[in-house]
Amino acid sequence: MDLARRAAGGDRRAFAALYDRHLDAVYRYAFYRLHTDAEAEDVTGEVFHRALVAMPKYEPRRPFLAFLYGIARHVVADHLREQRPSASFEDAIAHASDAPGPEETAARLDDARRLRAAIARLTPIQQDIVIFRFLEERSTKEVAQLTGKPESTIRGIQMRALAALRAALGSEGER
Amino acid sequence: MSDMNDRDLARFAEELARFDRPSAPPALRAQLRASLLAAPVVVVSPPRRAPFALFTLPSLRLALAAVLILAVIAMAGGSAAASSLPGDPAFALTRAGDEIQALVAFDDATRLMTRVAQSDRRLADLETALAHRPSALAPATAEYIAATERVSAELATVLAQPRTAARDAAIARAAAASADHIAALQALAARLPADAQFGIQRAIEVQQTVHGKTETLPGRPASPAPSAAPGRPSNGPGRGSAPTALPGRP
Repeated sequence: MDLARRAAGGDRRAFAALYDRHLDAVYRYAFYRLHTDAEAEDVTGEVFHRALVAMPKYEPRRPFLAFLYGIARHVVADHLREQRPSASFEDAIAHASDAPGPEETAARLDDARRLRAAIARLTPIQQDIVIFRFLEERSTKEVAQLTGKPESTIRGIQMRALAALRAALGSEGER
Repeated sequence: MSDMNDRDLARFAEELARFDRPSAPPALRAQLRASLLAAPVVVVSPPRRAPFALFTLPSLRLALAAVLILAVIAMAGGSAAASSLPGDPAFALTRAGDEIQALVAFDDATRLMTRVAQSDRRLADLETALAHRPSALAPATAEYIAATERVSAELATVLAQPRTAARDAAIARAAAASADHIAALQALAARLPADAQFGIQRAIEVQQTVHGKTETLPGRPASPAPSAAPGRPSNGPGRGSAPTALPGRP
């Protein structure tokens, strides 16, 4: 029996194995969709706790990551609704983390945070498509399943999203 | 959009894929994992009976009385009990609620699931006590051991019954929880002061007994329970001692 089926049957070790496998993907989604690292951590925790509660209702034919992303999209949307108005992205970049790491790690994280600030300038659906399609490198078909939109729509939006992101990154670079 | 633009965008998309990917911080990874493993289990309700079938149950009156008592307890001190830790006066309400939950369980397999869920909560209490209130550590350990012994007793009852899907699922749930608990207890033991080691080692031993019982499920592959805390002798203090000898235990 696969891990997801066992987890749906209440096997906590199976759920822990799924958690280990998918934590980073969920965290990255939250990281890019939200304003600060702390918010991303809170939302990641909320996603997995909700997933644990929803496991008995999990449909095993559906990919488990799609199940997690579905929850993550809802939790992020709820979070953004509750948090508005929030700190500016300039604040988010300046105070993204209280824990400075080694220089190289910090530089890589700065890149990721600059990208996050640029992604925030896109519409919510453009953000999802950029994250799933280009940062997580999912196929157009998978992105269509994750977002519930036809593949042709995804292909149309992804080009506009890329153009908007490139422009946003350009203006972020001028700051 | 022109071909030129499309090519530029395709190149830009390739650049995006080369961005370093942030990953979950190690502290989040560890804390969230522990909190998920300690979270109370959602027990799926058994299938609903037809309304008239309820009246044929011999324990109906007892169950209704218990539900009423539970409601009174919930109204009287539900929130206090929910946030209480072992050793608090309000914790008596939590224990009473646990007993009623077990009393009104439809069958032994459901009762075993209930007892396992209760032991999950006692483990969470233990972790909360260690993190926020060390004075509650001894009673929390004693309550955890008592909850595990109730799981062990219920497990013995269920193991003696003929195989059914519900029975096997309950035993599998108990086995999974037991393995997780042993791992969690060993992690806790590493953080506990020397004077709290007695209780936690006893808790590990009781939980290993539970795990050993689950290995008797036919068709279950033999998987040894995690051993006693690393670096500690297996015949350390507490082996074979009665749990009543624990500090903080009534």
